[in-house]
Amino acid sequence: MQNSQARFERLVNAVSSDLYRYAFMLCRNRAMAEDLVQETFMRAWRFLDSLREESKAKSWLMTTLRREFARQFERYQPPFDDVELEQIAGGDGINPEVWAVRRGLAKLPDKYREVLVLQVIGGYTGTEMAEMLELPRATVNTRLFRARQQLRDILENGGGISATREERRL
Amino acid sequence: MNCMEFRRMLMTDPAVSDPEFAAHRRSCPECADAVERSAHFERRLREAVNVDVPENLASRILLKQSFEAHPKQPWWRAPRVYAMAAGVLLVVGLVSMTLPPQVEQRRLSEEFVALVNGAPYALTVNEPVTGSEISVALEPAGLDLAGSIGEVTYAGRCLVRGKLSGHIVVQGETAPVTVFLIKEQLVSARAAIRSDHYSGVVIPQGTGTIAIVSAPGESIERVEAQVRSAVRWASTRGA
Repeated sequence: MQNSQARFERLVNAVSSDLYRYAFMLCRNRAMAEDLVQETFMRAWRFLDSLREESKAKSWLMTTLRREFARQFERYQPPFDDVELEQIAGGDGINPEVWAVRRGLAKLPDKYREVLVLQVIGGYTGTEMAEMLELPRATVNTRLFRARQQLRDILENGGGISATREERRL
Repeated sequence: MNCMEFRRMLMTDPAVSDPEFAAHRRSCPECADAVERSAHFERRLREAVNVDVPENLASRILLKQSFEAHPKQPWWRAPRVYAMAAGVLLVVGLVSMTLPPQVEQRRLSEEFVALVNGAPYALTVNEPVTGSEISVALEPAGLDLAGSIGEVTYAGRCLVRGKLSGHIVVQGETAPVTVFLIKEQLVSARAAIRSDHYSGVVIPQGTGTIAIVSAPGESIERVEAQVRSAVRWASTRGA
C-alpha cells in the first residue's frame, strides 16, 4: 500500500501538468480540463497495480484522458472563447506571437490539433501516437503535416484556407 | 532525399533524427533556412501549449485519491474483517474437500453470494468500463475477454478460494449481473446459486469456472452466453 501510494504520488507530480495542458487543449475549458485530469488519475489509482512499466504510464494516462473526454463530451463542442483563452494566458505579459499561435490552435480541426498537441506536449514519436490513437502511422504523419500547414496558413492568412486548397497543396 | 521529401519530414516531425535528413540539410541552403524558420515556429508552438496549470493541482488530485484509498469504511469492509473472512473461507475450503457433492455445491453457492455482498461498491458504480480497462483489470489473474459481454460497469479482481480471479459487473435488463472468472475448475457440472436475495449459476468452462450471480428474476442467459464465448484463460502472470 505504501509503495503504491509513493508510486502514485510520483506519477501525479511527474505528469499532472502535462496532462492538464493536454486536457485543456482538447476541451478549452479550465474547469473541464481539471475534472478530466482528476478522473483520469482516479482511474490510474484503481488500475495502478497493472501499470507496472512507469515509462508507459504517461501514454496510458494520455490515452485514458482522451477516451474520457470523448465519452463525457461526445456531443460537446468547445466554444471558441477568447475570454477563456485570455484567462489562461497568464496575464497581460503574453507574447503576441504565442497568443496568435494559441488562437490558431483553437481554430484547427480537432483531429489535427490532437496529434500536434500530443507531439508537442508528450514528445511522442509517430509510432507511439499511432498506437495511442489506434490509427495507422501514415495517418498520424499526414495529420501532423496538415496540422502544421493549416496552423501556418491561419497565422499568415487569418485562417481563410479551404480544405480543397489544403488538399491540393499535398 | 529531395527537397519535397525533406520539407514533408520537417513538417511531420521537426525533431527528426535521420541521416538522410541531416545530409540534405547540409547540402541545401534553402532547406537549411526552412529548418531555422521551423525552429522559431516550434518554439512558439511549445510556448502556446504551455498554458498555466492551476495552483495546487497535484495536491488536489492526491487529496481526492486519499478519499478513495482510505474511505470511511463500514465494518464489513475493514481489512481485519477481510482477514477473518479469508480465514473462514480457507477452513471452509479445507472442510469442503471432504463434503458430499450437494453440501459442497451449497457451500460454493454461499461463497459466491458472500463475495457479491462483500463488494457492494461494485454493484453501485454505473460508469462504463472500457475494453482495455477490463483487460488491464483481468490480466494479473491470467484472464482476458475476447469480445463484448455487454455494458460492463466494474472490472476488478478478488480471491476465490485463494485464487486471484476476475470480478466483473455487467448491467442486466433490470439489475446488475456479477460475473466471477476463476482459472480453476471448481465444479464438474453446472450448479445453481440460490439465496434469499440472489440467484445464479456456476459453470465449468474449459480449465476454469464461471460464476454468474444476480437478483432473482434477472435473466442471465445473455450474459452467460457472451461470457462463455469471450472468456480466455490466458497464461497466468502473478496469479
